[in-house]
Amino acid sequence: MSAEVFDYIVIGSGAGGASAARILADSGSSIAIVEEGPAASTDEFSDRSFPTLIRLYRDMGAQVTRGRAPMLVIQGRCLGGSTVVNSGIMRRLPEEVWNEWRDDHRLGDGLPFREVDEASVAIEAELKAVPTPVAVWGGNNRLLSRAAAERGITGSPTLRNAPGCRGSARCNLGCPHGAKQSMQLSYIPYATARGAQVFTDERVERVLLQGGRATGIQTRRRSLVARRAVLVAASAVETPRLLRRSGIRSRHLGRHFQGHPGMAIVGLFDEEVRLGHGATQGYELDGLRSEGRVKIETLALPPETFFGGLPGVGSEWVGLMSEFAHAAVWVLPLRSLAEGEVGIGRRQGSIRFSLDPRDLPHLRRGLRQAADLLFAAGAREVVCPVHGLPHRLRPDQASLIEEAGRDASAFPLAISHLFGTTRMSPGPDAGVVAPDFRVHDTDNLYVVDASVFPTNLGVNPQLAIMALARIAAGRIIG
Amino acid sequence: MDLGRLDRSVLDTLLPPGRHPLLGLGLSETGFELFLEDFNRAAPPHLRRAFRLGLLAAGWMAPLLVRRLPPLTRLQPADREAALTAMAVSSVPELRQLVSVLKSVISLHYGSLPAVRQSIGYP
Repeated sequence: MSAEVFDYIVIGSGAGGASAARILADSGSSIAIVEEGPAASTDEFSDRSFPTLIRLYRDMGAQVTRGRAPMLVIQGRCLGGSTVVNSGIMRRLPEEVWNEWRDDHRLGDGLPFREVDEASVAIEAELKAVPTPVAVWGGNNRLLSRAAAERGITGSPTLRNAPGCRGSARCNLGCPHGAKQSMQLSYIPYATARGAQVFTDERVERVLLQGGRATGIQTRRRSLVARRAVLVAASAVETPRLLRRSGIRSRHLGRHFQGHPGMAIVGLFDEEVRLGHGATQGYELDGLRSEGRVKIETLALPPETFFGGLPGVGSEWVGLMSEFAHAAVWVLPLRSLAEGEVGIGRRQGSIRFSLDPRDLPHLRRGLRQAADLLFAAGAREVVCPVHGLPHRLRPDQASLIEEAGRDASAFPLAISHLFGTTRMSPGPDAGVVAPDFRVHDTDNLYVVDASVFPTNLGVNPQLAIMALARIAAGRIIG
Repeated sequence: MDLGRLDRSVLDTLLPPGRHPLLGLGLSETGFELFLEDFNRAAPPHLRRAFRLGLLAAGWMAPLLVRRLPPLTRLQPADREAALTAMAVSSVPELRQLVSVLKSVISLHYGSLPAVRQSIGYP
């Protein structure tokens, strides 16, 4: 077995790992980027969901939480990580969330807001983040904009790192035009142009530790030596498992798992909406977030996903499927108050997460608001797939949403933003990682992904992940 | 996994032919069994198990929800649909979830078909 030597080893090539590698690469150091999933180029992306799920998603997008109300956990698993299959949304760390980190988690001194914001600004420029142009809105985004105007709610075109977006509505299958500046098209090539070496299809079995110091990694096929540091960015699901396999012990490892559970609501219009045309997620309403803990945003789905989420069987199901061309799909990610746990050790593989009882009123109210907005935009019917509701709601039935779903299992939820399982804390009594991103009581081992976030955000996290990873890498190279 | 007569009955009831002028193709006319071979090769074990369990529950338990004796193949087509509808809206979350799994797997195939995509105007 070969043992190649690098200054830095970065585990994971998504928003965190690639952003750290991009900064490390500027230092002239030798870098290995190790990715569990495969590399896939733009011309290999399929317009079909099944081959895409197999190739680019962890467990075919079918990881499921344990509990009375199982939820899908959606993660990318390929070179570039989830940035390959997300919608390219760029949201800065909200200041009110940072205030919680400062006040409740004592991170104000170690992670100044100004530093995070400056890193975010730099990344926005590098990844060419722009508000989604009206020219590529398509029907789905246009309708949310119309609804917001109708109801006097502030909405905005979504800021995305897809400057050349052609509105093909396929972000979640991998951008077919290479417009989205996901990591395999931006920071990873930046790093490789400066000598970084990429290893794909390499699952890291463990980080090698000697005398409390990270010295390298072991995969199934090779050992790599790290002269200076190992940076872990394997996601809030995989990072705590890897640390545990490597011998790290902390009662916080794998705990405090947080996310943004969300679900879709569908409006059926007389006019054609044409979900297959327009930016996947090009318009959003943020005004409900501070009070209602939800955000409303558009989401263009391919037929496979759209069909699967509709209620009914037989004739009723086919009838709803046939309305695809007239359907608008909006989603509500919820800033849940719940904490779960990622199984480590003998329980590897399990993710336990259940909604907090306080989440349900927020979810119901958000769905009601979304339904009202769909009707305001001209929907003749709304499909809100909550157990107990009529499958097609007329305008005079929207209030039923607030009475439905008394149990979390009534809501078909999925989680795509994951946090907290190696959370940052000033000392090892409250978390796994120190404010300098180093694993407590361990030298040269750093975590640079969303698992260090002490809370969820309420907004799409990739920019905040990139910003923190950038700060971490800058501190590591000094 | 080979589909038996009962499995086919479940799948045909979920997505029958000729029920809508736009989407007249029923699942049985679309080569779903070929897709299923790929699915069984590539899908994670827990998803394959859930699909198999969904077929089993739909075939043997759904009829009981409409006070009919199983299996589903004993029922007339309209009653089969009523039985699966009852399972899809059951007060038991696990039964609803199994129907969701069946529909999600079916949709991965059905929504990818060129004829279906053309019918619904998806580019």
